[in-house]
Amino acid sequence: MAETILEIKDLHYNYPDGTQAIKGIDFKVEEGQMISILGPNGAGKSTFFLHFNGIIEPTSGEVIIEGKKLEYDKKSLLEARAKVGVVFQNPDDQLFAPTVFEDVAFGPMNMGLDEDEVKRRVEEALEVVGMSEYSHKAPHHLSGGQKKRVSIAGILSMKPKVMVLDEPTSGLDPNGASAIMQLLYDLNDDGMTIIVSTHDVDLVPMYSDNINVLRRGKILKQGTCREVFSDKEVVEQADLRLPWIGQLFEKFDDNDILTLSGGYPLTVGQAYTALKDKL
Amino acid sequence: MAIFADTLDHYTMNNELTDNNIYGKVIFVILAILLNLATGTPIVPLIIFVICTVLILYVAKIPFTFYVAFMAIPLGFALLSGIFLAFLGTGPHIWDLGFFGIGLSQGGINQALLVFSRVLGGVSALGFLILTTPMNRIFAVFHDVHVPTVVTDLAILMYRYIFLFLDITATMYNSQKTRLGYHSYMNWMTCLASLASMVFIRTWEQGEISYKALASRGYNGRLNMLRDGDSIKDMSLKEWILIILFVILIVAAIIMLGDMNLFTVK
Repeated sequence: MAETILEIKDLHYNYPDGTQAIKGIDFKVEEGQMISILGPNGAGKSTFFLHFNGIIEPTSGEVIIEGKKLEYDKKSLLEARAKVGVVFQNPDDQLFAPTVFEDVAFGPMNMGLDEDEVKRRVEEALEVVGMSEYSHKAPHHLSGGQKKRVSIAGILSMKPKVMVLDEPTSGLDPNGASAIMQLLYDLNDDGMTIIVSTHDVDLVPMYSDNINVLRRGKILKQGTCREVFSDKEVVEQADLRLPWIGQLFEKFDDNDILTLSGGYPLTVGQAYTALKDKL
Repeated sequence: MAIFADTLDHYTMNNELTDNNIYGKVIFVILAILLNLATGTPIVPLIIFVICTVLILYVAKIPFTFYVAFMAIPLGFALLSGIFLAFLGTGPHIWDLGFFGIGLSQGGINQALLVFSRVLGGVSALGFLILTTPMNRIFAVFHDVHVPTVVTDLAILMYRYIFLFLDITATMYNSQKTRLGYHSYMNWMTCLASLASMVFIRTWEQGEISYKALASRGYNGRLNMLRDGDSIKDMSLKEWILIILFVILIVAAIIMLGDMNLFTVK
């Protein structure tokens, strides 16, 4: 049994005007997992994420990082932020430095590491995201996908235990989106725990098999891709839809052309395996 | 991004001198400006202007048209003030305007020439630094000479967000024009007003969210940065020799030429 690395207990958060944004979430992340949080716009995903490293202090409830309850004093916050890295949705919100190199170095410098170590980490992080040759460019000279990669590197260089990404594929072209997801998948393979929010239902089944559906500040359902997508009620309530491949098989099923046991295939790969034997 | 292709920022990062030691450039420019001010003759600033222009156009390879556009505004102002100065000199007039006793005097013309050429020399020297050096390296120098961190931090953030808001402003402006904004005078006024206020609100929101993003990476009031600068110790011997030669040449010119000017005034 893997170790629990992040735990959220009965989290509530109200906006200053009294609106309830998070209405009691229990959430548990084990080391090495890759978790997707699916939910419509305004479900509270971003607000939820900002609790993980103490940017937002909950109205009630607990955030527990590696078995230690998060306190909101300066020192504990710094520690939490080094362990849980949050990549923001819009890279322009995150990139602030005049060059890529300086931006990626910002996090590790704040952790008080010595300069050689910081340089090593920056080079390593840029290498991982494939942006080494851009290290002396200014952020405003990069494309959207490149900025995304740099903001991921900015978190990677802090070597967090958990990386949280808010809509990492939004605003990217299809190739760019797949490349980012593949990158996250590879990072996860190397042992990094990853939490991703998205509403790209076609991409999710390819990379993650642990899905939480968030709606109106509550987790509606938690389970594997098949469990979640076969629950029509949940899919409908959360303004999601079946992946296109799944819809195709649903139609086959409805018209009694082809019925497969154990739910609809959700990715091209699964569909290929399922159909290979039938044709 | 295309809209930044022909800007100062683009050229600072893509010229032949981008990667040269920043201190070589800074020392050269400071000396050039000091010598430029120490001289009493318009010829020395002109020499400095020629040297800097050659450096900018032929060594750094900044396009000619861009350099001209860069120099046009300061030189326009210098020309205007030069004309006024020429009329303000004392001494016997060589040409009278015809009222209030205003006229051109030899002293005035000398003064005007000196001021104009000093502006020419000073702006071209400063232009050499500005056109060939990426901003982040200049920030690194700020840090090394112990400019207060608040100032450097603010400058760094401003530098980054100027481009962001430039982009936002351009997008909003285009979307206003798409919906027939700016078609009449009154409409132009209201469109501009709403553009300005919306950009202001966006800066406010951006400030909030940027703070959150910085805090996520451990920010607590000071931008701890690993600066991407050079050390004064890394300056090559060649750079030192060139700077020394430059100083010797200019100092010699200052001594030999003295106060030489268009008119000899006793």
